[in-house]
Amino acid sequence: MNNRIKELRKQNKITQEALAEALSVTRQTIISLENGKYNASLQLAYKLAKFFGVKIEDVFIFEEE
Amino acid sequence: MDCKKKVRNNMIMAVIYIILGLALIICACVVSSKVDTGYISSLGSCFTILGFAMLVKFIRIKRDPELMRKFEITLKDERNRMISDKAKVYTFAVYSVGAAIAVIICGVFYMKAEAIIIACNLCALVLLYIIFTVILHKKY
Repeated sequence: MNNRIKELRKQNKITQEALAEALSVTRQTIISLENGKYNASLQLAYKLAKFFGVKIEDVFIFEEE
Repeated sequence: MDCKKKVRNNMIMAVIYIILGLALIICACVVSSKVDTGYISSLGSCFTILGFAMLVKFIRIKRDPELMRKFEITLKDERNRMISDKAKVYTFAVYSVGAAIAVIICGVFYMKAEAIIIACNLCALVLLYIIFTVILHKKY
């Protein structure tokens, strides 16, 4: 699962620390999400989409294996 | 679990460690003339130091709202939980294989009592795994 978190974060000029703070997660989680090492839960995916004011499918790109 | 409750529980745990550690040290001092109690007093010292370290850490967290907020985030962070769960899974897998190998080695060297203890331990672990799997299947 790819995502556009880094792109959206930079567009909105937000630091990883600020994003982590807003979502109540650690900065390491944001780093792992951006690097594609960790896939967010549905709850966190909703929080991310809500934070950026976009749909979930605009943040996460589903690729069928 | 509520974060404040978790901090309180950890503080109670720290006090239990300190009491247990001091009790072990006192026991070691009392019976030191009869038997070798070096390992008991060492264990007691470890418990006491661990207890004090935990107590200081959680008192600081309880008093500082910023530290409390950071502790709450670290505690509830889903990636941290996933890492913790995975570590438990790997621990279980490695321990199971290690114990099975230990039973075989003990058997080869005619250490029957040790082999039985390790085998019983492994059986208990597997039994607990099966029980929790059934419970969780019913729950979800």
